[in-house]
Amino acid sequence: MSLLGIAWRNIRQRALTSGLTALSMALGVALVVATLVTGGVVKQAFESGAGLGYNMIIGAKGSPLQLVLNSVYLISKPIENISWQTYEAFLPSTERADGVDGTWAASTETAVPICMGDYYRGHRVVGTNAAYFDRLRRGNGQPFAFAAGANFRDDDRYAAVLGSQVAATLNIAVGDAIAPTHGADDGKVHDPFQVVGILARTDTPVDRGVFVNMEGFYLQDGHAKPVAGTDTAETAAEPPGDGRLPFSQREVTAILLETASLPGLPAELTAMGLRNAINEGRDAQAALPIAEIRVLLDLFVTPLELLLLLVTTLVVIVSSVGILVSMVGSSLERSRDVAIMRALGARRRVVLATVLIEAILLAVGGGGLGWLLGHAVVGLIGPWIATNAGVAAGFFSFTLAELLLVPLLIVLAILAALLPAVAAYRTDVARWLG
Amino acid sequence: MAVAPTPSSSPTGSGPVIELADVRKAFTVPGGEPLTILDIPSLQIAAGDLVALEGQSGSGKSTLLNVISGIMRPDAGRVVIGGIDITRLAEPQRDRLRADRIGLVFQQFNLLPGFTALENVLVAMAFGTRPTDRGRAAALLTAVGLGDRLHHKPAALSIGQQQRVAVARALANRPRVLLADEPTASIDPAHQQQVIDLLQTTCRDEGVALLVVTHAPEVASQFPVRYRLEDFNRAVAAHALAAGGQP
Repeated sequence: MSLLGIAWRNIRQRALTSGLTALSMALGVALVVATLVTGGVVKQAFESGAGLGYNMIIGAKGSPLQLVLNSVYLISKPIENISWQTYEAFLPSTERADGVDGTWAASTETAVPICMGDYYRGHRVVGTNAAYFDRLRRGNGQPFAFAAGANFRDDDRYAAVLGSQVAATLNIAVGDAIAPTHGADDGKVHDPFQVVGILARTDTPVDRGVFVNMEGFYLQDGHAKPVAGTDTAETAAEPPGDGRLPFSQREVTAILLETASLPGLPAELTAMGLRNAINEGRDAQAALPIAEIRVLLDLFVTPLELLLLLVTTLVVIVSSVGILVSMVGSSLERSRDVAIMRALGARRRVVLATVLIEAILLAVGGGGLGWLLGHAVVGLIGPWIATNAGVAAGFFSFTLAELLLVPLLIVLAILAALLPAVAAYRTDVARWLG
Repeated sequence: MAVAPTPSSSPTGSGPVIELADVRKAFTVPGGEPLTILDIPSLQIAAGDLVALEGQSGSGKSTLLNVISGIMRPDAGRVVIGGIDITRLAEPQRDRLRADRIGLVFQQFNLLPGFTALENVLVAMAFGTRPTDRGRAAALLTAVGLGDRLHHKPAALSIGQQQRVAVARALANRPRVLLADEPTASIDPAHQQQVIDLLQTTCRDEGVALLVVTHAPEVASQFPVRYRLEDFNRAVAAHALAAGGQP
């Protein structure tokens, strides 16, 4: 019979006490794991979400963080809209009606407009063009993939592409029609769009977005900017009779921008120059998603995570003290058992090891259970996190920090068990068996 | 004058497996003077002997067994078990020797309550140098009549059955010596004889020297070799003199 077997039988002998001690440890560890995993996943999602094939966001003046949260993570409220002319300033001559390069065209690799403000059954509706899925990336440089159907064409005005979570949650398939509502879920119902594509899961906020062709988006009630007087020159340049909203009546909520390198300048300097130039103007602001998210993480997420971690670590330490209390509490019973084992020839270090192994088993058992519980909690609240924070978290979400838990638990268990272990080591056999 | 048993007193005529020479052991209570419990000039027990050591309460019976088993170290003298002077051994070596060569049976049986009968025997094997032998453990329990109680925990066994488990456990590592401290004191008279027979039979079968200490003359009288501790523990005589009695 091994020392492990002896320790295990000692635990079984005090099943209730051992079970409660392990449960206490499990709850502490579950809290730590849930905090670590949720915090890790949120951080990871924010960090990866900041690299989706664009490095700058142009939007209305206001909070740059709000602009990023709204445009990238599809949370928070839009600040305001910016003019179509501002968007056109990033377009090359080939994409402009007037055939002239926009002011910032040379600094622009990709400019994708997005228009927001509509909802479909709790999900944000994003009006955009085909470039969103053709030229942007879903993260790590990977192009968007479609689980069903394909991207919409720019000339298919009433086409829509759904994020994987939207399609799954609402049970929508390619070919179905969806009718967004204006401003809120109970707002005025717009014309229906036909779903032509459903994206493969990206584990980004895109999963819970409803993307419609902005040409159709513009044609919905309340989406045209009211203009006084006659059409502008740009409106006059609009090909007549094609039914699209005149440019003068268009606005965009934001522009997702991939900056280009100007000749002789590194990309970073180009981006910095462009950002400064735009921010010094009156029409719009330029926000760097990575910088904003870094600020958010540094200001709120990381300290909050550290605070939670501190609290939960304290919980684990308290649980470890529970092991100590449990083992000290049973020391009377243990002393007799230890004396018996010593009388049978067990050396002092053997009984010491047995007590330590017992504590380690309790900690590892409780810790293992807590790990499962923690992941189960994350699995349970995963949909809630996804809905509210745009982050995919599930039972199998994992963070490297969890790997530290096992050695930490073992060290804590050993520390907690040292006192009773030493007491066992010093047990006076003659006294207990006499 | 105390009687000092010698090898010649052994009915088997073989060499001593337990040999004590000038062993002294005293205890000091807090604030008090040292009180000598053992003062034994000589004690020898041969392999295969079945010996009862009779003594009254406080005569040092349990202390003597603790000294012989290496649980306690004497203040002076030699304790030789199977040719090894255990007073010269460090505690871990004495522990190992006790696990390998000495079986112990206690008055309260002292079974581990969380372990089954079989596991109680196996756990004793775990502390010895021989590999754990599950078959031998089961065979020992069967030999003491508990073949159908291998997986019962002590609480599910009768007092007599528990003592039989204790005997099987004491024999687990093929000891050369079995020391029993009042093995029948907690047992009703109806079962006392069974335990005595069991100890004698199993020790005879295993070729083990048996030393039983008891306060009961009716128990001691059933052993081929019977000593009175007062006869060779000079500490008892000294106490009696100090108390105004006869040595």
